[in-house]
Amino acid sequence: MKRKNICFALFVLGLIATVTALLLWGVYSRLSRPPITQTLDPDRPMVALTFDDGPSPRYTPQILDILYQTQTPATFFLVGERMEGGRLLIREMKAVGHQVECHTYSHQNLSALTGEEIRQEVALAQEEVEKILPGHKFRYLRPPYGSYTQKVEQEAGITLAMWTVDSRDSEPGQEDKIYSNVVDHIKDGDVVVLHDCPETAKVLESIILTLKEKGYQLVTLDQLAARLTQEEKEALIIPSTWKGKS
Amino acid sequence: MKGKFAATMIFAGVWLGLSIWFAIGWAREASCYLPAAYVWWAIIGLALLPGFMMSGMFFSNLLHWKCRTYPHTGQDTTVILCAHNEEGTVARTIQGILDQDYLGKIRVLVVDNASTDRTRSEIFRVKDLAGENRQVEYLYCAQKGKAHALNTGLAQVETAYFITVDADTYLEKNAVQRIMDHINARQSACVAGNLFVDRPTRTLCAKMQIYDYLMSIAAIKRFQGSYRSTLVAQGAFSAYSTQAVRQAGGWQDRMGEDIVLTYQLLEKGLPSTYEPRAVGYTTVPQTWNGLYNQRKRWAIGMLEGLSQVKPWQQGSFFACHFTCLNVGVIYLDLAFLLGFIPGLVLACMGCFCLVGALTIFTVAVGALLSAAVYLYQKKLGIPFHNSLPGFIAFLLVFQGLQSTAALHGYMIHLFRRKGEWK
Repeated sequence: MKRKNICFALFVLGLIATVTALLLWGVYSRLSRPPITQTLDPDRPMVALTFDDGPSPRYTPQILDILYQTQTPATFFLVGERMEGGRLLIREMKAVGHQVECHTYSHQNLSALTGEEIRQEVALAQEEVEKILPGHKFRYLRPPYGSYTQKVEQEAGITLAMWTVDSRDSEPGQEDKIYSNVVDHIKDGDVVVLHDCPETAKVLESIILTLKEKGYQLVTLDQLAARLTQEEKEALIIPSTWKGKS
Repeated sequence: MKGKFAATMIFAGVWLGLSIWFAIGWAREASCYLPAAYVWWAIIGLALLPGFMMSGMFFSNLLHWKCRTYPHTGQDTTVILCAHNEEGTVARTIQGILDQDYLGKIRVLVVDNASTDRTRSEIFRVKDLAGENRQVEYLYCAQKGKAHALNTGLAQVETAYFITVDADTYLEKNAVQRIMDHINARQSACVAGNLFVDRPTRTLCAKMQIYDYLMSIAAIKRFQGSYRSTLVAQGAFSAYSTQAVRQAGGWQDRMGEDIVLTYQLLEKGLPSTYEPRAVGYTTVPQTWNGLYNQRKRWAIGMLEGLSQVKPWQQGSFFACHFTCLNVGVIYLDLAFLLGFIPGLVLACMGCFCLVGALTIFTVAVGALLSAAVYLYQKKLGIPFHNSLPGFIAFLLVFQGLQSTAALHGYMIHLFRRKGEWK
């Protein structure tokens, strides 16, 4: 009797080990995807796709899949309080070569906050990302709603990163508009703002394919910034005209 | 009763609804990495179903927090005590019954089930110590099997109610009074007593079981008993209506003969209740192998009960509900082994896609339920042992062993293999 019990327990243990191994394989086969490969030609036009408001358990995986299938690196501006639910997604972003940046901790309008609160928003988001990607330091902050003031820039402690092309992808059922908002107005050195939302997930592949057909190289913000002139960089990263948008 | 049950279902339903709402996002992310069907199977087994069960149990037990008392009865009763090679414990058990503070007469029918040790002489040693209103009779049952022994005793019962006590179960001084008060006042077909672990000081395995009896088993029995549908009036210490048991045909020669009998009584629409103040201390398996065998038997017994009386054949809506939940236990055992443990390994490696925030919520409601039951048991004023190593072992080891043994039991039942006596 004892021997049979031990044998059955070992059988169950084997079953558990097999299931665990399959699960680990399932998880890590995605996490261990080789990084996106890219050879940049400095003479060809470049644009950067950026995604705000993630990670979203529903849409970020779809976006990541499209980006991987089309071998397109991008930049994700993540919200700190949403990171816990998307640990694997964030690791995957980093693993395949996307750029991970800050979109504050709780997605508040920074223009309405005190200096201390602004610092808190950045610091808390930094803490969250370091729990998932130890040692990762944000270099850019994209203020929620694109709203900032001089105080925001001073208190944030990191560079503000804006955009030059707004996809307006927050409008439901407007995939065609989103597509044309991006591809009709694009030019070399542009930064496109998109969001981890259903509309983007639907239209992203078409946007990428069209931009590539037009000869654009799709890059991360860092890659783009490395190629910009100081003047272009300032226009993008620290806009020359102050306007507290809402 | 119906109002409280409805309130309980609303509470558990709200909990379930919130859990599903949380689980959708969780499942979506996990499905990016694991097969969606497996993810939902695991989430149902790790969070939704246990959350529904435990939140309902917690809320219902809170609604039934007040412990009912009943008018004292002094009517004569019979105790059937079956013993198979129990020389070490039978005398103490009989002595415990003889020492009961019971107002009426107690006739103890000790059924020696083909013992080959000194059980017989131990019975005779204490037989003559019976005082006024106490009587011990020795019966012999040559056919091995607990059901045969119980039926031998049942044939001799002349009282309206009788009690079964295992030869290794020691009763509190007022246990018989309380369980008789209960069955007499509520006219139940059977009443399960409240079992604690007897002298759990020997091994870690025994100490661990303190908390299973103290919290898990007691919580389930109280929940079911509140709706007159306790699914197991355990042979170790329960009271029965003689007429009801005879109508049901007595005990069947099955691995879980007590479970099958309770199911049969419930099928007839007869009430099965639980008396928390009637306490017995039972000897639990001291070894891991012993515990494994016991839980395997219990799992087989549960399936025997379910095969004998299908959930939809139960005599009351409540009994039907609880037997359906019992079917869910099979799912939970599998989900624990093939969902929770692998999920825990993944979590240890930093991947919280299976064991995540919602699991913690479920653990939290489980902890809340256990704490409430612990406080309730404490409120009864019954002395019981505590053991920190036992509690830690209960948290870390118990469920794994129980689920493995139960799965083994389910397989045995599935392939119709014969088990051993107890």
